[in-house]
Amino acid sequence: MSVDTSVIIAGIRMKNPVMTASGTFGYGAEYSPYLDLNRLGAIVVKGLSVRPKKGNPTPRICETPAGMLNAIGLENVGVDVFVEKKLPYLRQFDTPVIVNMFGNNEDDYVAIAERLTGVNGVAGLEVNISCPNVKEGGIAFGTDTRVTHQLITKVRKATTLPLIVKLSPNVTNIVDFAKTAADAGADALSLINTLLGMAIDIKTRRPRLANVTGGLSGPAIRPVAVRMVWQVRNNVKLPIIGMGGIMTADDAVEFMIAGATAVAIGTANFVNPSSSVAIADGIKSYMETNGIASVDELVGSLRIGE
Amino acid sequence: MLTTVLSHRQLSPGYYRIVLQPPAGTPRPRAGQFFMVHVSPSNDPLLRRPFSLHDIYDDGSFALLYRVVGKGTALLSHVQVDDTLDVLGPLGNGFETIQTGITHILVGGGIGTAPLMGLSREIKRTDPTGRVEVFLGGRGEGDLLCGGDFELLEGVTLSQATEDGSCGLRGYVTESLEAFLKGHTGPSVIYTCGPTPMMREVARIAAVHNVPCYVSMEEHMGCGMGACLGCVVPIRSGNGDEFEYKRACVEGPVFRSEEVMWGAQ
Repeated sequence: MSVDTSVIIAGIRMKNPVMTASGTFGYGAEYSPYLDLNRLGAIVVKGLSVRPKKGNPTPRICETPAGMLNAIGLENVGVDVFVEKKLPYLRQFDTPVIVNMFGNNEDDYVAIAERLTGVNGVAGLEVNISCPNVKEGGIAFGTDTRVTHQLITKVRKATTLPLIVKLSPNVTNIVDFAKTAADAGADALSLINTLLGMAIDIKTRRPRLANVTGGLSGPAIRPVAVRMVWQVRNNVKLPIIGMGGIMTADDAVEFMIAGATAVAIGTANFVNPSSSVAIADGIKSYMETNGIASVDELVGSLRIGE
Repeated sequence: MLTTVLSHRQLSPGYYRIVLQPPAGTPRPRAGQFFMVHVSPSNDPLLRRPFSLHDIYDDGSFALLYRVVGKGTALLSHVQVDDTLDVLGPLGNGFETIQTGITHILVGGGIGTAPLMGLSREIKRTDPTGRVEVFLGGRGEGDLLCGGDFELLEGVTLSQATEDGSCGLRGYVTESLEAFLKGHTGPSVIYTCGPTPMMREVARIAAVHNVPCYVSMEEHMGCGMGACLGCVVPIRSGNGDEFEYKRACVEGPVFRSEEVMWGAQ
């Protein structure tokens, strides 16, 4: 049967529901040797700050059971270099580019949102309020609902671009933050960011990351992410981009059944750089095999009871 | 990219050499480049493991040399001849184009010896009359790798050192290097790969003797293709203590030793 894999998230039309998770896909060009960027639903680039950011000391990553910890520290080229040097390359593809962004304070977030508004080739913003690896930007804004509300309200006023808010799982109740973001004017939600974790080398008794703690990603966190997508879906009207350890199309479909309209591929890009395209193909096959004509029929189709 | 295992052999306890068919359509790897190997199709271990090119043969097949240090390399050690292996590469910049008519000094520590075999062959090919001095070091005799292979190459002189004195000179390989440079004149270049403290000392000695030096950095690597930013190395930028992080997987793994800000954070 012919199936329609296209979705619309926050007003952004995508040919399929597969996006790349920020921080795992560079600025897109890194992956060109391995896949056709035209085949993606959307590209979400590495988080940008007002000025370039150097990031954390090494070691920045370590592997854990079915997952990895990272504390990169939001290293990035800064918004101006992105617009001048990285974005022109991405414009040649028929794939929306969503810019992940973060700041040290509200003014930074507002400045980046204003800077990117009206820039040719930027389809939307993903506001990172959930990076666990830096003291300032990120998680400070994502673990207190009043702070979240104030920030998203200001960013909303600063831009006409579609606004996606990326939520932290490191909170008591993620639904509260999803509702807060919705109230403040978000158009869609990304969940989840990494779970705060830690690993120790028992020979040296030193932490495995120079930053001591880091963000856990990979298949190890998938059940937590699926649960959070399901909880938010039941309580908030906004479309959800589900992510957290998706390695295969089956994993992606699981998120969609739980309530995600689209999915983002993160750690899997590191293991197999063409994963995202393989997952997009696999979702289409699943729809064909199961007689699902459009993505809407799949999203939130969880059956409980009976 | 899937490739076939052509041979797989233990060289000394814990150290293995695996020879692979070149994956279709990939360029011929150069010394100093590396491959990311997916040791298991399961999710644990999850990430690929980086291994530098050890040697390359006339038919295009190439060898990797590795030491079993954890779960990933333990799994790899069980791979059999004719099995298929998922590899990504060749990746990274490799060693700088080789100059001719000079003394090429190669310094390897333990598993860091891996890329020096292919490099010696490249040097002998581009500079047949050039002198090649290979210094290998390790804790004990079992950590000295491929000494016999280096000795088979014409014009290559091998010096070995072990910390426990079980083979070659007792002490650090850097002591042998320093002794050699004190009695050596004429243009030379140093290439080194091994534990960071060893490379840092090689870099110091190279600076003292005013010999250009290339280091192949070993960092925790996530993707091997420049996306994860896990494997960065602090590289001098401007004067003083300023540095910027460069990715070992793309801008490296080989850097000029004086560019590396050892210990900078």
